[in-house]
Amino acid sequence: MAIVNRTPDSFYDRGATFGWDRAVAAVERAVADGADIVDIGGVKAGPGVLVDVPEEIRRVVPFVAEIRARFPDLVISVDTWRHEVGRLVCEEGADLLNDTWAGADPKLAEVAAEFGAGYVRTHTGGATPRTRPHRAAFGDVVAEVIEEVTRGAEALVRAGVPAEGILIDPTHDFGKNTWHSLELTRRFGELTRTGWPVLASLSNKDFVGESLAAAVSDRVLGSLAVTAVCAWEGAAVVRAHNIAETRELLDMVAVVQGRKVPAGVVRGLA
Amino acid sequence: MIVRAVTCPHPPLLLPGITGGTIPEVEDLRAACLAAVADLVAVSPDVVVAVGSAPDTRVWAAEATSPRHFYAPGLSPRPAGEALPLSLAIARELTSAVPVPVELHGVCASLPADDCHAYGVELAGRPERVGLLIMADGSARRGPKAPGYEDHRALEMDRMLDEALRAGDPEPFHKLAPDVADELLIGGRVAWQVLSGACDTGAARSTCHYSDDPFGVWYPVFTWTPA
Repeated sequence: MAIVNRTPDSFYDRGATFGWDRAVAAVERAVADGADIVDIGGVKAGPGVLVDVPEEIRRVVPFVAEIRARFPDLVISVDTWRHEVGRLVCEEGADLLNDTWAGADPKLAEVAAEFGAGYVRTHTGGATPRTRPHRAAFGDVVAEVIEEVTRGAEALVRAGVPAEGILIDPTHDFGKNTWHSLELTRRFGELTRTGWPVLASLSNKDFVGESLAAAVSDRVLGSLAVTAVCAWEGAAVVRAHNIAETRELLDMVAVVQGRKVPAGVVRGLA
Repeated sequence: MIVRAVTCPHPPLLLPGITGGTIPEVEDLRAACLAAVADLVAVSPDVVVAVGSAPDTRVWAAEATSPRHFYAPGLSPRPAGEALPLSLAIARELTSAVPVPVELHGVCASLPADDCHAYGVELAGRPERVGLLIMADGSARRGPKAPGYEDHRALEMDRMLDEALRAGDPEPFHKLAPDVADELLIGGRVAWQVLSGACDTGAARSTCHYSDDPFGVWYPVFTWTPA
């Protein structure tokens, strides 16, 4: 799942794909580099300048329509928590709603049910959209995340969202400190053993930065390392900025696990 | 009687081992807190009473487990039994080498101002020489990089409280409105209001050990010696 931000201020790309042409080019490159899904967002996750519903619609909806027309078979995900945006992107052919703020707007699930769209059920510990964690504390962070996201996923099914389109996401760093995100990584297998497909959203996040004392621009290798851990533990989808590297890593893990055959083996066999 | 009072912040960062590698800003803060606690002990109290916000108002057992696991799973096995509130866990760390008994008093984080003040008056009425350790920090909304982002009232409020700490003046703490304190993510409201009751005999002599916000939350470390 390739991240494409139509934002001027997201933490990693800092507006690099805010402009229309550059955003289209980013999707083209992501597909060429091996992405199966693009995740289009119009609002920076962290606190910052207000982006209201009309502005988010302006940034995201025509872009989804453009990408749908150019890539009929590409899975299009939209990173939004607002039902008004969700409805319009589904009308334009979006396949998946990535609700990064964990049901902050309960009507978003109704939109997914109405259109038969997929849905990412995340965990934020109840955080308000676009806020940072402050002294978040958990008795057992993994158990609490599993309880909330599986309960949420079951509620989505009851609301009519197609079960085969639902992913759960522990949502590293959202409402959590670095220790919590490391624990979720270490015990990622407990999430995959719930039976729900799990999205791992790790790319260039602060828990990687704090682990390695790495600035935002220096977190690619750390991100790939935690991606390998989560892929090994059964992540169904990986959300990433650095697509070519991530694709190669996932292919290698799949080969080691026997889910994919090596590209060509001759050494010692002649 | 209160022979001296100290106010220290209580971020999870001060729990042992929680930063992983050493963070110089955290070690500076820890050193300032330990210097203030040394000041507290220097006037030979019979007992140190630590006061911090808690889920409810009561005295916690000194041997209660650390809440470190809530903030840093994976560092050590999860302990059994009741865990201390964060504020009192930090107080216990800071007083681990103190040669007199230490009491850990939790004050419900939603306790009204006058009740907090009365709690402080009661502490001041105790017959022993009491060294008071107040666990409190300022706003977490001091700017765009702060944990709670930016609230235009935060800097002004912290400045007012900083001036009161420097002046040894308890009154502004008594007047701190609970709803405003909560909105500004001020972690020290109830403990400071206990201080306002414990030291309401007039301006105290004040020493500043630390007053800074290296991570977007205001951490004041002060010693007050009552007049």
